[in-house]
Amino acid sequence: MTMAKKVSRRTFIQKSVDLGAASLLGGLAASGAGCAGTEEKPVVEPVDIAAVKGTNRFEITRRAVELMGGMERYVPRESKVCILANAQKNNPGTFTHPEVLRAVIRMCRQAGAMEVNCLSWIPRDRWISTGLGKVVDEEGARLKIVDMKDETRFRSVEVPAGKKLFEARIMETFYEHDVFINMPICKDHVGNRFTGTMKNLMGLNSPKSNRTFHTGNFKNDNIEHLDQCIADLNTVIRCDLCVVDATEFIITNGPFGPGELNRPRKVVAGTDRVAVDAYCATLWGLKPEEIIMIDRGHKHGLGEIDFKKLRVTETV
Amino acid sequence: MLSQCSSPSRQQPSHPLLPAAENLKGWRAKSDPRTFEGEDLFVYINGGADIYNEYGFKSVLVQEYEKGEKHTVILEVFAMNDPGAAYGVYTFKNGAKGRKVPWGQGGMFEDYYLNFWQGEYAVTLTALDDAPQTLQGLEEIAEAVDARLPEAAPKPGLADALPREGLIEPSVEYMRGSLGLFNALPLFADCVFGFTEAVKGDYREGYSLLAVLYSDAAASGRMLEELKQRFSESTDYNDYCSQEDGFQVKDRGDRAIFAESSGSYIILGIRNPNTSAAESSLNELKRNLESFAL
Repeated sequence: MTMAKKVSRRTFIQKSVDLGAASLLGGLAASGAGCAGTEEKPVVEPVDIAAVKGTNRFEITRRAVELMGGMERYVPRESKVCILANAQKNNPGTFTHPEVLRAVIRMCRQAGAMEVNCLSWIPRDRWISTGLGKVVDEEGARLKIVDMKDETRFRSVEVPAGKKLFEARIMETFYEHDVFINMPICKDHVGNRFTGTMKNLMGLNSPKSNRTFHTGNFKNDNIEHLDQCIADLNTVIRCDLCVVDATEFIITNGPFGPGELNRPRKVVAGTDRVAVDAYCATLWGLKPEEIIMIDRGHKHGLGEIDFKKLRVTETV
Repeated sequence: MLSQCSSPSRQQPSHPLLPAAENLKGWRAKSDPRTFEGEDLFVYINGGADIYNEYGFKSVLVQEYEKGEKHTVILEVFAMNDPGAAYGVYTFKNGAKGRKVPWGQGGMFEDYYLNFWQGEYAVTLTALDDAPQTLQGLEEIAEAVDARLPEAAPKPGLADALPREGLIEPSVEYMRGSLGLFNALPLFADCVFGFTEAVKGDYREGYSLLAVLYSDAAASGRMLEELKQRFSESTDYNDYCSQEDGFQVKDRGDRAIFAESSGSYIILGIRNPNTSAAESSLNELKRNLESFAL
């Protein structure tokens, strides 16, 4: 499995324990065992999926990450963090909300990240029109736009487990980072009924490669090709943390809308992308096992489709 | 190729479909219009392009309008290959919860957006904020654009085959491929349905009817046989029962799904639990299809 450049995972986890995860509202706190000068804090047992509901997007994002053990658990000090948010279009309910992104960037910086970069091949004007570009600037992160038509900016990556996709073309700059935080908005998609963490990774893959996921003629090709390609792509990209904007999103005419808006007012965080997608699909009545992409991701061993088997916390 | 339609003055439209400034009730072009043609639709809306290509897409004209600094409306005029394609796109994007508007050959206002169609054009207007002034702007601009569109053209004849009694008009969907069908009625994603056109409508008595046209009776017969096999073998369905020209089965929600062939057509019905209606509508649909001159 190819992934962003990383510090030793074991070292990272130990450092997280030493530093202690962020404290929660209501008294949860992290253990600071073995680190001189730190106060002793209670051990945090992070959950597998944290879904926080509320009207303040910044606060519920912060809380969701805290329930996952805090950003320090995923972002070592001095690390380079890349974020993949969705800035496709400025129609309501189609892009990651700026305040959700703001919270994540700020938490990364507070955790001691050396750099926080938002990667994208979406043109800059979309980042401006969605308000996401402004948040990137205000929070001291960088927006790294890759020219979508310059294939030299993408690296060929073999997909050994691929059933439909055998070669991905991942942004070269992705590999310059230590940590990857995936920040989609969950919503409807005309191609496969649902888009969330797994499909968001097409934002790291070159548009030319992505085009092959979409067969040109549905009179002669079936629907599942897209979903299988997405699941295959996910086998070569590891997400350290998924933070999903599920506050307000379209449930018809996706991915660009305009469409009917659904407003669960939740931010959902987790590390198991299949489980997070499965959870988010239920927010508008979809059955995860009926979303082919989620099923194929599960079959690839990427995560648990029956998220109820995991530790799920839903709170306000 | 993406083409930029430069305008020396934002007060005068540079595209024949765009209204003149004096007809826009105070709305003004925020920037130059853009046009995306053919494959470049993927540049504009990525994977959202598939459905337009399935119907038959030529180009889309995009223009943003503003009033003051806080109110923005996006206009998209999709030029499709033929009026049937435009009608299909309209029915695909249309929801069932809005209110009718008088522009084009059919139009609906929903929440913060407005869709209508005329001839080979499907028009969408989106408000980027929910201020009353912006929502009103959707209708103001729609009226102005409507006046620029060419004359009306007949919608596909198949769309009129659905019985009208009890039909929920905004639920009608006209399809030209598996992607549209999958969005209207998710069945077997690995099945290549390979049909020519289809229409689906929901009825107030709790059932839906779908007519799917194939190239000929042999093709519809082959697909019916494939569906029989799939439904009878699938663990997602139960109570499979073969009938003379079709079959009936139940899904996990206990809805009855029935299908039969009728010449070049496959007719499907989906009936909610505890609903016994549909028989007379089904028979009327069959009669309508038989009398169609396609």
